[in-house]
Amino acid sequence: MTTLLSLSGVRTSYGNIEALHGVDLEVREGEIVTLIGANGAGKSTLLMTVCGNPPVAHGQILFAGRDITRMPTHAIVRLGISQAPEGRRIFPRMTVMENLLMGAVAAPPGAKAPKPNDSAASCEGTPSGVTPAPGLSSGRPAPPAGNGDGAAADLERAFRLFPLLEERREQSGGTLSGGEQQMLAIARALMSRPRLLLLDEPSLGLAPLLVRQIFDAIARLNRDEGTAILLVEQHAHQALRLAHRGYVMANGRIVLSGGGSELLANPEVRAAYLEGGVGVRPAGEGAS
Amino acid sequence: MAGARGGSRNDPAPDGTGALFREAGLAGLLVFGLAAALVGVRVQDGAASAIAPLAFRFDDAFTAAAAAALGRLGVALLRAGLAAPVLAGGTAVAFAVALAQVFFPAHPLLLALLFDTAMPNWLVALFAGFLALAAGWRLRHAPLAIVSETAAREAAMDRIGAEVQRWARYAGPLIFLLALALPLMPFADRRLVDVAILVVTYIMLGWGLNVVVGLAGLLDLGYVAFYAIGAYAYALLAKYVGLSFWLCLPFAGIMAAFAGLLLGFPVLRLRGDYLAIVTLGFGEMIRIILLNWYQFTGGPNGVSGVPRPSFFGLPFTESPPEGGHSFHTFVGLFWPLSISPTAKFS
Amino acid sequence: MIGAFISIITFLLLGLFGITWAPFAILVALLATMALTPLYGWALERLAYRPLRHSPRLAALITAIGMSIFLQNYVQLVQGARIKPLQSLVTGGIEIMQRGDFVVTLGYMQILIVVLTVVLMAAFTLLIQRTALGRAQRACEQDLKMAALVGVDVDRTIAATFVMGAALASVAGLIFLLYYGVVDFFIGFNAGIKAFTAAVLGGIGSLPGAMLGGLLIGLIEAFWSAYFSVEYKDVAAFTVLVMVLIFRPTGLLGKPDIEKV
Ligand SMILES: Nc1ncnc2c1ncn2[C@@H]1O[C@H](COP(=O)(O)OP(=O)(O)OP(=O)(O)O)[C@@H](O)[C@H]1O
Ligand SMILES: [Mg+2]
Repeated sequence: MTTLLSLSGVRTSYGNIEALHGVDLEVREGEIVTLIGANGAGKSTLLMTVCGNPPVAHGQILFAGRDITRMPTHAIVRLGISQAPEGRRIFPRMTVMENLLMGAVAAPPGAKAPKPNDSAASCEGTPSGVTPAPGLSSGRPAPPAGNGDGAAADLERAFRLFPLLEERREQSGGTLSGGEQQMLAIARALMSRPRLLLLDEPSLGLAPLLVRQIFDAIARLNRDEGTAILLVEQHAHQALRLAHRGYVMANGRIVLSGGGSELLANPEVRAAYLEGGVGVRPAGEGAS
Repeated sequence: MAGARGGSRNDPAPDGTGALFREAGLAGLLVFGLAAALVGVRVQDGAASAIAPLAFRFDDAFTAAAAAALGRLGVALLRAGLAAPVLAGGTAVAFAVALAQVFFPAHPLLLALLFDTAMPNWLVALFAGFLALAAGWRLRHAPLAIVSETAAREAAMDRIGAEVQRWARYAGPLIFLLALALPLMPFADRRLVDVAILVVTYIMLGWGLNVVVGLAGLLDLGYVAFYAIGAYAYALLAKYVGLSFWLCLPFAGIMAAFAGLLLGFPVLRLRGDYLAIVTLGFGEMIRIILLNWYQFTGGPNGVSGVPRPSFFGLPFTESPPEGGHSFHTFVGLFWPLSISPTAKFS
Repeated sequence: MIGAFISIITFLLLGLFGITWAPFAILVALLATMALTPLYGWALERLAYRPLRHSPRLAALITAIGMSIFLQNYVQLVQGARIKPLQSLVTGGIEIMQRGDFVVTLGYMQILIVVLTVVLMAAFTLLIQRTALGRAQRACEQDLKMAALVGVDVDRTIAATFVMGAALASVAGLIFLLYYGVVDFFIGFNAGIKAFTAAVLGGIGSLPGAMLGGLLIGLIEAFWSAYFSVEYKDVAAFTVLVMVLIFRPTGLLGKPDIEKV
C-alpha cells in the first residue's frame, strides 16, 4: 500500500507548552487507522496539526508525497484532507444546507482524480493492485459540468448517508441536536471528496444506536469509496475492531502501534483503554 | 523559553528573484493607488481655490510609491536571507535622503525626487536606516531557525515582556524616588512638572480602567466620563459651594461612584458590543452635557478660578499671605539650593 | 471621509475638463471612489488588523480607534483642515403635493440617494446571503478556525470583507458630499458612532435591524432637535438606546444566542 499521510518527528506547542513530543505516524491509501489514548494525550492536537493549526514546530508531515509541513490550513485542506474536528464545530447560524456547502469549498473543481502533483508522482507513481484502485479511492469521478454539479452530487451522497439531514436542510446548525450535529459534521467533511478523512471522536455523546450508525457509515465509506480514515475514538474497542491499524498515544507520544486486532489483544491496551468496557466483553460489545 | 523551538528547517520555499520584484512592484502599485488621489491632488480652499480648485503633487505620490516599493524589496530580500544588498542599499538611501534634506532642502531636483515636506523624508530615511540595521544584525548573527514569522515575533515579545517585568521590580522604587526628586532637580521647570503630573494622572486612569476592563472584563469605553465627573465635581463644589479641596476629594469620588452606579445597573445585563456602545454613549452624554450646560459648567470655556488646595488653611503657595504662613514655611521645608527652585513654579 | 474626498477630487478633476453633466460625473465619481477607497480598506486590514487576528477583542477595538484617528490626521495633513465645499450638482425636484402655500417636493437628489441606497443594499444582501464569498464571510465570522478547516482562505475572505465595507462606506461618503455639499476630515467620526449605535439599537448582525436602528436614531434626533434642543440630540439618542437595551439586551431585532454547546 502506498503511504498517504506520514508524520515524522512532529512536535507541536501551544505557546510555551509542548503538546506533541515527536510523533511518527502513517496512514496508507484506503486504510482506516485508529488513534486511541487517554484524555489530554494529544490526539486532537495531532489531527489539528496535520491541518496546520497549530503549526508544526519541528519535524515533517507529508501528504501524498508532498511536504505540507508549512502550508496554511486552507491549502492543506484543498489537497484533499478533511476533518470533522473535536466538538463538531458546526457553523451555528447557517442552515444545514449552507453548512454542507461550506464543506464543498475545498472540493476540487471538476474531477477529483489523484492530483497530478509533480512531487506526489514519486509516491503515487507506483500503483498498487492491492489497494482499491486510486480512481475509486479518490471518490467518484466528478460530473463533467464542474463544481456546481459536483456539489449537487455530493449533497445527494451526504443525504443518502444521513437521510435525517435532508429533512432538516433548512434548520440552522446551532439548533440541531448533538447527534444531528455530529452527522452534519461528518457529512460536511465528506463534501470535499477528501482522500483522507480525519475524524475526532465522532461518537462523542451519542446514543449507542447512533454510535453504531456512525461506525457503520465510516466502514461503508472506507469500503465503497476507499477513503482513508484517521479516527480518534474513546470507544476504543469498536474503533479498533473497525480499523486496519491502530496507534496508542500517551502524553504527546505514540507509545504503541500495530494491527487493529493485535492491539485489541494487547494486555496493556486492554488494561488501559478497554477495562471500562470490561463487563461488556467482545461478545456483549457486539450486541450493544 | 518561548514557543519557538530551534527547528532543523529554516527557510520556507526560497523565493525566486522574480517573486521578490513582483512583491515590491505590487507594494509600489498599492501605495500609488492609495496616494494618487489623496496625496497627488489637493483640494484647495480659501483664497487659493478661487484661482484653481485643485493643486497637483503627483511627484509626491510617485515618491511614496517608489519608497514603498524599495522598502518592500528590502524587507523581502531580508526575508530571503540576502542581507548584504539590503545593508548597502538601506545605508545609502538613509544617508542620501538625510544629507539631501539637511543641505539642499529646496533644490528643485530633490523636491521632485523626494517629498516636498521634511517629515515624510525623515521617515523614509529612518526606515531605510532601520532596514540597514536589521540587515547588519542579520549578517553578524546566524539566521534564526524560525518556525514562523509570527511565532518568532511572539517569542521576541515574550522575552521582552519577561525582561520588562524583571526590571520593573527594581525600577519601580527607583522611578518613585526619581519622581520625588524631580521637582528639586535644577532642570525641572513648570512644563516638565506639569507633564510629570499628567503622567501620574494617566497612571491613575489606567489603574481605574484596569479594574473595570482588566479585572471585571467589562469593556467600558466611557470610562473617561468618570474622570470628567470627578474633575467637575471638585471644580463646581469648590467654586460655588466653597468647599475645600479635602472635603471635595471624597465628594468627587462619591459623585463619580454614584454616576457609576447609575450607569452600572442598567448596563449589567449587557454584554460585549452592546456594553461597549452603551458605555461609549454614556461618555458622549456626559461630554455633551458638560459642553452645553453653559450656565453651570461654563461650556467649552470650562470652569476657571477654581480654588487651589490648601492644608488646614495653609496655602501651597511660594510666598505666604500677609502675616501668615504657607505650607512650606510652616513645616519648615527648605530647599538645598541657594535659589529656591519654586520660583520657577509661580 | 476618504470616499468623500476621493469623490470631491473626482468631481473637481472632471470640472477641470469641463465635464459637469451630473449623471456622468456622479457615475465616474462613484466608480472612482469605489475603486480607490477599498485600497485603504485592504491596506488597513493587512497592516493593522491581520497581525491582531488572534489577539483579544480589546486590542482590535483600540486599533480600530487608533486607525481612524490616524486616517483623520492623514487626510488633514494632505488635504488641509478646512471644510471643502462643492457646488451642488443635482438640483430641482418633483412637486408631489400642493395645498395652498404648503408644497411638498421631492428633490432629485433625495430620489437619487434612495435609489442608490436601495440598489446597493439589495446587491450586498444578495452577495452575503447567496454567494460563496458571502457564505465564507459568515463562516469566518462564526468560527474562524473551522472556516479554515473547510478550506476557506481566511486571510483573503477577511480582506475581501474589508474591501466591501470600504466600498460601501465610500458610497456613503459620496452621498454625504452630494447632499451636504461639503467635506472635511472629521465627517467620519460622528457617522461612525451613529452607525455603531444604530447597529446596536437594531441588534448586531441583523440587516433589517440596522436599518430600523438607523431610522429610529434619525427620527429621534430630528424630533428632539425640532422640539427641544439641538445640543442635546445625541443625549436623547443615547438615552433611548440605553432604555431599549435595558429591556432588550440584544437590540430590537437581535436574536439572543441560540447556540448549543
Ligand atoms: N489551545 C490550547 N492551548 C493550550 N493547551 C492546549 C490547547 N489545546 C490542547 N491543549 C493541551 O494539549 C494537550 C493535548 O490536548 P488534546 O486536546 O490534543 O488531547 P486529546 O488527546 O484530544 O484529549 P481528549 O481525549 O480529552 O479529547 C492537553 O494537555 C491540553 O491541555
Ligand atoms: Mg480530543
